[in-house]
Amino acid sequence: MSAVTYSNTDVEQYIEQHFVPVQINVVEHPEMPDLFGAPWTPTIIVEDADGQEYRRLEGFYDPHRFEEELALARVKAALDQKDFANARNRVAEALHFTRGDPQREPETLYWSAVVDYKTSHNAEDLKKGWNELLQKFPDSEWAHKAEVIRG
Amino acid sequence: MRGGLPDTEVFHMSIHWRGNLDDAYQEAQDQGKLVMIDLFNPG
Repeated sequence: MSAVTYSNTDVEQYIEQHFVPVQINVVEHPEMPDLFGAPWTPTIIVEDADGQEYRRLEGFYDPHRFEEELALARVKAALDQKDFANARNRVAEALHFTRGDPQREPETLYWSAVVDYKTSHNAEDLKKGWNELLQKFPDSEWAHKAEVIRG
Repeated sequence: MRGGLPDTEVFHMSIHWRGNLDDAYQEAQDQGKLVMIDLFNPG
């Protein structure tokens, strides 16, 4: 991760802007994997100040995929904290990163519709967003979650 | 929240990696940021 991803200028700036990064050497601190329930390295965990976890990554991520994952962590944090105004901005940011990624754009579209619904309290907004997801990525895991709107 | 890591603050690849979890959580609280924890094996 250090040689490729953390040395990427965009990744570096994104981390510095939105995260407080902590690096833990598990050889020097062998108790830490158990503390975090993380037996494999590298493991990257995104939490809030209360220790609530929003995203966990195992293994190597290239710079772009890593930014996508961090952006989705920020979306989920705002949603779970019911900060829907912030979530809307973060969804736009996540769409910027995940557009065209068949693995992560569906997740972004799923949460985008949820944010729209939570903001407007209009179920039609949820249906509209999830229908877009179903049409664009019908075989994705996130489309399967959205199939519930078909009743 | 999980603390207890000794202070091992470093700057690497221009990222300011904090080395103390408790301080990191507090900084995240103060600045409205999320904590990103990287558990790594240097070998």
